[in-house]
Amino acid sequence: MPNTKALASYEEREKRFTGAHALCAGCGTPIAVRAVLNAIEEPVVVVTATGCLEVATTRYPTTAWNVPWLHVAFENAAAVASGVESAYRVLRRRGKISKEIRFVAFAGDGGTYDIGLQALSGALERGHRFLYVCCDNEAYMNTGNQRSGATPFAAQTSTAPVGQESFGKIQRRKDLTEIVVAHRIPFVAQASIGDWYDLANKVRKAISTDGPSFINVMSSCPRGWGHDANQTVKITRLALETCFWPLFEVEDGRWSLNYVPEERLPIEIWLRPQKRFAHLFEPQEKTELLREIQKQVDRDWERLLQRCEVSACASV
Amino acid sequence: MSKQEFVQGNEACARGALYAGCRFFAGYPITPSSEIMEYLAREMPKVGGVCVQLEDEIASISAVIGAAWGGVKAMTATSGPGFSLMQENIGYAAITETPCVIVDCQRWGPSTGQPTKAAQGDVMQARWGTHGDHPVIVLTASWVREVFEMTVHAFNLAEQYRVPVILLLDEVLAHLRENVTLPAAGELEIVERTEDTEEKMLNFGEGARLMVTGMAHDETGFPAQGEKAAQHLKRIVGKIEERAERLMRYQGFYLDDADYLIISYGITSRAVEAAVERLRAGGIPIGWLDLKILWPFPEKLIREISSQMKYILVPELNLGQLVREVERAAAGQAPIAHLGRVDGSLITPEEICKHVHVGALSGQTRGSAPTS
Amino acid sequence: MQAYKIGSYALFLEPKRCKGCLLCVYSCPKQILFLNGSGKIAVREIEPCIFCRICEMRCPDFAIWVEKALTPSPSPVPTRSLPVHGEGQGGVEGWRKPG
Repeated sequence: MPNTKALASYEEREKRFTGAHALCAGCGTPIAVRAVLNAIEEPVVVVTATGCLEVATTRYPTTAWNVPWLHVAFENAAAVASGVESAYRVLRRRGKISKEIRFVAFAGDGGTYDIGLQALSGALERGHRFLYVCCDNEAYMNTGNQRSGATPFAAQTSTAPVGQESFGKIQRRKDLTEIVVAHRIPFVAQASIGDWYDLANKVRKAISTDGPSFINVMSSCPRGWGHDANQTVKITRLALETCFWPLFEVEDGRWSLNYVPEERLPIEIWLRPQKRFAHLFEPQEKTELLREIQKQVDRDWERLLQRCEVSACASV
Repeated sequence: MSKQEFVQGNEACARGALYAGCRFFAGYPITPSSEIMEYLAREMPKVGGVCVQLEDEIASISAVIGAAWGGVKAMTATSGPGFSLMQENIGYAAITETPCVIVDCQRWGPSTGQPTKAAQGDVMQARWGTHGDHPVIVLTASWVREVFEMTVHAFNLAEQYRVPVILLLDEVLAHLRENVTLPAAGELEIVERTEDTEEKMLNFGEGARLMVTGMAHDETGFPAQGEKAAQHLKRIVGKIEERAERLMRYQGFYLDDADYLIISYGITSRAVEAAVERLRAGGIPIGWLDLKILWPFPEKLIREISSQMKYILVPELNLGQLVREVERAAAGQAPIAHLGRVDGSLITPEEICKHVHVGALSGQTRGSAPTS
Repeated sequence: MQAYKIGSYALFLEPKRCKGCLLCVYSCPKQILFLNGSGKIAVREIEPCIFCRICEMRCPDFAIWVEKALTPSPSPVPTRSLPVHGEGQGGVEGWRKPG
């Protein structure tokens, strides 16, 4: 497992993703992208879906990308990566290229959970060797904070407003990581910008896998979530401590937990600093909703523990 | 409702939809149309309607078609890339004669293009985007109040003739705020889906065994081939084409004594208005035709008018779309010039004046006119 | 661009890229960073710096980084990038790689 020194040494490699982007102050996405690309040693081709990352990193006359970079549309990062990877395989087979090249697709939660799910599913099923990274900030932040399939229960967004009749998003977020696991691909993981060691570890595992791999990275959005820019890392960290966003990986069907908090914090600790959940606390505390959210988190956590236990028993 | 307000184009569209009786909205976030969904997400539940955000534009229009058959007036709103995704289902709505409204806030394209810049590049896609011959009505608007009125009109036409109606707005108009007085309740006519609509429609659960299919079918709803399929297609295309003249909606200015003519639509009409006043003040006999309905194209009208003109200018925010229709309709009776602008900015009155001065007075026509 | 050198390490700041999010200030284990009057990143005192690179890894905007002089390390400005207006011009004061 890499330590701070190892991580720091990654930073000495040639930068693949750099500044000169116009992402907001305190945005979590560039932290995730640099961590992912830094952890890969081989040459990389990057495919990006439409989103903040795409529009803000390639503003004329600058680019933040120091690698071959391709953006096509919102719904098809995985499909485009399939094409690029296939072309590479053809060239290798013909002996026209000998370098080991890796392919990484970046997309947001909108481009992965919703509109891009079909392309992702197809690419995973076909077994292309590429890493798909979902930078999950839990809503369509590029178009102004509309709800997505990743938006958590009771969060306020511009299309899930809070009012007398509504408390924000009334549906639960879908568990995309689990959907991806169902494709039985070699490596699936959930990571966070709150834990780099873990993220870097997972990227290295994923990139050395011969087949498709998927990492779902939680990266907070200060504007959309409604917290100060300096809280970006702390908020995602709290998601780990409250077990809202557990870190786990599924290698060839074996589930394993990567982080178990010493003391599980109540979900309220994660919700309270975010303005998108402010209606749960003001004008008066909505205890029933809070209890419901806590129940959801508990149930998901229990289920995850069971899965990991079963995997541990099976491998003995 | 009838008080002066400061209203955004997108908001006017959303309010127009509620005014017209729209009770189902399905959409997907896309700049510059997102505000329509955001407004309806707040307001739709208050009138007992449903506003849902779906996983993409294909799902949005599909849900709208489903809701239309379920018995409510339904709408979706999008922009260029989403509009492209919707095309298959717009064709489906046409062949199944499903009344629905699709708002397209045009932005610079193709692909992601310039999401925050205006364009009028979807004129042909709105008419011919889906495959095969099909009926469709395409409306446009230039002012915020007009966005409201045309949204209501779009629902009326959809219900009256059982056809998908597309409302072409653009980024600037969608985000523009104007001081307006929106129509009061009862001020505008609303067409409801009753026995009296010209193309009658049954909803699910109203007694008949309904079968709705995208396959070529006859009037019983069963799949048909050969001559029966041809008859069906001719009827659904014909129901709009035959009514083209009745559907015609435009405003003509100074047409009585005009030697030169400007034909415009959408956001560009605002610049034309200023240009026409300036040119008239300068003693140039200019006329102006402001089109509110683009498809069916007012062919007869343009053919008649162009016979009296020495020069026609078509300014639009594309490299030449509606101007082709104008050329076809004018059939060589007048030289036609095109002023296209595709840098994301709007055409200015100065540009139009310059073109009229240069073109009209020296007989310059399309092809030689500079485009920026 | 500013450079602070101790031994074979140097801490670089590029205030032009800084958006003032404070992530580095909050994560610095030695608390040597702060935002100056114009809301840009600045160094209070360089002596305590251990060049751990946590600020570098956390900075979303690549406005702060560490370079190790003994190993030839690449410039954080990509060699193949398009020209950036008013950025990366001129040399680095007080800092020269040995050899």
